Amino acid sequence: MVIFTDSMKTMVSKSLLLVLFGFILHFTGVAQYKSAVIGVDGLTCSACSFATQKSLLELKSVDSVHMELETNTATVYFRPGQKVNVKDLAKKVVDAGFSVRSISATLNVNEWNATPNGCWSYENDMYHFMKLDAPKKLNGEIQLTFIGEKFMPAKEFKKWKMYSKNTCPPNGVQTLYSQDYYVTIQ
Amino acid sequence: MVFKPFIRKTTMLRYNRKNILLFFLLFITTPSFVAQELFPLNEPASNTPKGVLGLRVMGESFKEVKQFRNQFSLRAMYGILPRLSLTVTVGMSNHHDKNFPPNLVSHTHNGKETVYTTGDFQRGLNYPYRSNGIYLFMKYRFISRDGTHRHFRMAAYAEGAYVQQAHDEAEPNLMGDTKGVGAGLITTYLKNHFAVSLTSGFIVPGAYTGLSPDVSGGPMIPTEIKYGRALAYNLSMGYLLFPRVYKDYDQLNVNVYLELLGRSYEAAKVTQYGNVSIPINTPLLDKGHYIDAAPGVQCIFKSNLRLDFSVKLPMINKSYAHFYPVFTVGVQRYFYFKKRK
Repeated sequence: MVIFTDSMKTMVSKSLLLVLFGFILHFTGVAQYKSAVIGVDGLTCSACSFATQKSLLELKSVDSVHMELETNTATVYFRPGQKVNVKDLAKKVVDAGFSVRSISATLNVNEWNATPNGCWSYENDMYHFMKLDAPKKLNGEIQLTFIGEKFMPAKEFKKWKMYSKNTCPPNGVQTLYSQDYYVTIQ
Repeated sequence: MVFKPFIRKTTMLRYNRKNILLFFLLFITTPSFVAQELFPLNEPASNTPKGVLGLRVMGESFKEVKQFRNQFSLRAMYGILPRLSLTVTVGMSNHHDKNFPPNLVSHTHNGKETVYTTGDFQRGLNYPYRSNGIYLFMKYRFISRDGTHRHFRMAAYAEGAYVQQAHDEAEPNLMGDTKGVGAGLITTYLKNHFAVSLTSGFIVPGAYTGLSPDVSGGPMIPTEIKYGRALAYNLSMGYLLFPRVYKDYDQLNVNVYLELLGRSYEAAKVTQYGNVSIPINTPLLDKGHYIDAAPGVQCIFKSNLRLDFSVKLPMINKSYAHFYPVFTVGVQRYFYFKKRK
């Protein structure tokens, strides 16, 4: 006999909700991260850039890093088949002692339907579209810019706060996702 | 014995105050250079990257009368957290002996009365190399305002030293000569052509108890010197001379620096036989203040191996804890041990 505890019941109901919203409210896409461009602030010496590069290379998903020393932008190339955690990329820049100015990533996608205030999940992460006026069909190589206080200077982030009322999927369910990313499509 | 005022015998390099001022003006007015904050003598508000180990070998040398005083140190730097780093320094020097120099305490006769004061003890004696104990320095960066090619950062630091050296000057020197603790704030501002870092802090030194030879040939006298509490105020500036445009990590970086190192300290307290207080009668053990100017040059090879060279010269007053000029050499490298998970 199986005894359902309260926590198990919540788990089951949450999973059901997740499946339900998965079908109704967002699209699950097939995609592959190719590369990311990270603007790094506070860098003033090539030794500092070197430390940032070394820090990024500690990530399993990172294959190689090209650092543009004059503009302080790091282009990160990912290993195919490895899950990319964009928050980890930002963390590695902070670990080296610097700040993230911007992060945008290049992905290969297969028939994604982006809708205003919509979202999609990819590798268990939830991506929320921001500042999208009309539905958009995405195919091939796309570029996502990540919005969040860890992905841009505080001043810049303030400008985005007005768009952050996006509630897809409804509150309570999104905690089941490992990461929530707010993105814009270019 | 008649007490003579202390006269410094030094073969000091001639320096020109105007030249130092000109150098300073050059720093703040030259545009189109990217500033550097990897100061040879001071710590910037920035930290060692998290999980990275830095090693630095340092040498410091000055000539005290005819005797070269050298200090060799090994420093390990580690980034515990992105904002918290620790440095541990060990070393040795021939600055002092286990016991105080002869004539540290002198006396004069006033009729039948004997008056004891600190004496005009000899400088430039030959001492063996002794351990400088251990020096710890911890820094926490609490403000980071980063921009493109600029940042404003503030950090708080705490330092502590355990060392047993018969330091015979009032001015404390935690890294090498005196035990004690200190703390302070570091503010670093950097924007394109101008980099400036201000360090302000205090030092609370401990005391050293050793033996002092009796001038009249009696047994050694137990003597304690409690060094003066001090304020430290350092201003460092730097800029990148080469390369003008960054292309790759292999470019040789050449940075020039000017560091102003200020100290203000109380008089030392000298006690003999545990409770006999000896009046201070030499500037070496009296209160004082000074500012040294230290121009420096630095080469960084392959964006990692750092070679520093700087010379300390007196600007306002002089330190009694060292003679001039003080030459400092440092070699530093970061080790990136962490491999991909």
